[in-house]
Amino acid sequence: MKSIRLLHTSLLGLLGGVLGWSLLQSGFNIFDALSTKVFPELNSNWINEFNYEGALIGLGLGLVLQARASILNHHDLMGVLFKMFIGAFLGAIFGLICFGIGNFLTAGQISPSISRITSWTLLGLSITGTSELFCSASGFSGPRIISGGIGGVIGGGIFELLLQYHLTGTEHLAGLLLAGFSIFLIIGIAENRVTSFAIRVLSGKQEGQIFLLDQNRFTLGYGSQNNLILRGYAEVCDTHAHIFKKGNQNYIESADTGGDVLVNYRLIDQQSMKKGDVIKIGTALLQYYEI
Amino acid sequence: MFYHIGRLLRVCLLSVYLEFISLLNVNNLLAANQVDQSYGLKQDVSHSAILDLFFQDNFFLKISQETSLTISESLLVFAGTVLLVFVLWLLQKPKVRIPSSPGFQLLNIGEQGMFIPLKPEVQTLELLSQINTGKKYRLSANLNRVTLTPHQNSFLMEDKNYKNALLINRRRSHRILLCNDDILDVGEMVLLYRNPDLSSDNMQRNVDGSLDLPAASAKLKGPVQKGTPILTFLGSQQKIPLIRNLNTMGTSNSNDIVIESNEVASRHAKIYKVGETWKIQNLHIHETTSVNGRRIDQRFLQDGDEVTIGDVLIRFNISKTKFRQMPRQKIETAHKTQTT
Repeated sequence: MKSIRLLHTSLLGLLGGVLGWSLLQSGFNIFDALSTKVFPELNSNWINEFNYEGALIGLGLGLVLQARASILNHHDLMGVLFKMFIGAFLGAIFGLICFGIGNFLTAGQISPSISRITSWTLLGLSITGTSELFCSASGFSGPRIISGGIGGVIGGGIFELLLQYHLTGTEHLAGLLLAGFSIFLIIGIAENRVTSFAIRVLSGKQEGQIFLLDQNRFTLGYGSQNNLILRGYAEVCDTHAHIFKKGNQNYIESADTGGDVLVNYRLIDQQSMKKGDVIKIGTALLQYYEI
Repeated sequence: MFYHIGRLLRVCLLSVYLEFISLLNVNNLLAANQVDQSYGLKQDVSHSAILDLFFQDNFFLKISQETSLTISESLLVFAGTVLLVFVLWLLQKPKVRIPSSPGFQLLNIGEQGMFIPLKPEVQTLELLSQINTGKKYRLSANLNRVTLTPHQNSFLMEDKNYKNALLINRRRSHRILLCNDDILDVGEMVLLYRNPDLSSDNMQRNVDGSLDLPAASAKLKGPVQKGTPILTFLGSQQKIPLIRNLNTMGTSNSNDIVIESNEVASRHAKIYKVGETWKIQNLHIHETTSVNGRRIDQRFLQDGDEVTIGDVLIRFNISKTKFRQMPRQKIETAHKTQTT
C-alpha cells in the first residue's frame, strides 16, 4: 500500500509538471497576445517579463498536491475539486511570491542559477506549507514542509543541470517534469517514513477504502472537515472520534461531541489500539492494522 | 467547508492588501521621483527602470519568442492532465465484490479479502481448514464440532465442544445466530460474516416500501402514522408496526407479538413508549435480549437498532413515510394478536 502511494504520488508529480508546462505555454500565448494586440501602448516590457511563470508553475503543482491529498483520503468528487481549486489559488500566489524573490535575487547580483534553485526550494516549501494549512493539527508539519523544501532543492538542481547541458527539451518540458516529480517523490518518501499503520473500512458503502495514518492526529466523522469521512452510515456524528499518536502507540478517543466508539465491541473513551482491532463507529466497521 | 471558505477569503483579502501596498509603494516611488526631479537630481529612477531592475529579461523560463504550443493546444494538454487526475481518483476507488450468497470473508492481512461461500445446508467449520490461504493459519483441532445450521435466512452457529476458542464479535459464544458483518475469530483466522440478504442496504430498501407484499396481505385501516416504530423480522422480512404503547413479545399467545421459537421465553421482552422514545426491557431472567449485539436489561431504542430476542433478529425502525399496506400479520414466525 505504501509503495502504491509512492507511485501514485510521484505519478501525480509528473502530472503537476505537465500541468505547469501547459499552463506556461498558454500563459506565454495569452501575455504575448495581450502585450502586442490588446495593450500595444504598454510596450510589453513588464507584462512580457513579469514573473507570472512562477505563478503558473505554482498553480499546477499546488493543484495536484491538494488533489492528491484528497484522492488518497477518498473524498468525493466535489471535495476533490474544491481542494484542487484552493490548491491552485494558493499555489499561484506562492509561486508568484517565490519566483519574485528569485528575480529579486538576480537583480541583487546573485547568479541566476542559485536564485532559480532558491525559487524552486521556496516553492517546494510553500506548497507543502499550504497543504499543511488544510491538515490542521497534523502534528507533522515541520518534517513535511522540510521534505517539500528538499524536493525543491533537488528539483531545482536537476532543472539547472538539464539547462546547463541543454537537455530541458521543448520549452523546459523535461526540466519541469523532473522538478515536479522530485518534489512529489521526496514528499511521498517523507510521508511513508512516518506511516506504519492504516485503517480500512470493512462494511457498508465505503467498503475496501484504506486510510493511511500518516498524521499525528486524525479525525473521523461525517463532516467534510474530517480527515477520514464516513458517509452513508447511520449514527455517525459530525466529528465522531480522534486517532492520535503518543509515543509509538496510536490511540483512539471519542470526540467530545461524538457518539459511541467501540473497540472490539467494547465501549471506550480512550484506548490504545493494537493491530487487528475492530473499531465500530456508528454502523461502520473499521479495522486497524499494520502495513 | 465554511471554515475552508473563510480561510480562502482571508487569503484573498491578504493578497488584495499586499497588492494595495505594492501599488502604494509604486505611487510613493513616483512621488519620490518627482521630488527628486524638483530638487534637480538628474537620476533616472523612472517607473520602467524600477521594473527593469526587478523583472529582468531572460529570467528563466521563456527561452524563445515562439512557444511550441498554440493556446488551444496548451489548454487541451491542461484539460488532459486534469482528466488524468480524475482517472487516478477513479482508480483509487476500491473495487468491492458484493457476494451473492452468505459466506465468510477472510480479514487477515495479505489475503486480499478471500471469500468463502457457505452452502445452504448443515455444515461444520471444518471447511476453513480446507481452503488455500497465502499463509498457514493455526486453527483449533475441534472445528468439526462447530456446526452451521441454516436458520431464518442466516446461519445458527453452535459450538458443541466448548473447547474451541471461538470469538464472535470478540466475545466468547457457544450458540449464536450470525448477523451480517459479524466478526469471527477462529484460531488465527479473522472472518467477517457477509450475508447480502441481511445487509442494511437490503433492509433499507425493504423498509422504504419497495418490497413486494404477499398476495394475502392484510390491509390496515388507514395509513400508519409517521413516527410509528416498525419491527422488521430479519428472517421472514415481515414488518409489524407498534401501534400500542406497550407491546410484549414472547411465545405465549397472551403477548402482543407472538414469536414462535425454541429460544424465546413465553414472556420474553417488552417494548414500550417513554415520552417520545421507545424502550425495550428484558422480562425473562434466563433468556437474553440484545440490542446491536450487546446484551441488555433495558435500553432506549433508536432508529435502525438491531434487536435479538433469543435467536430471532429484529430491526427497529421509525417509519418516516406513510405505509398504505402492511404485510400479513399472521405467518409462521410471528403474529400480532391485537386487532387494529
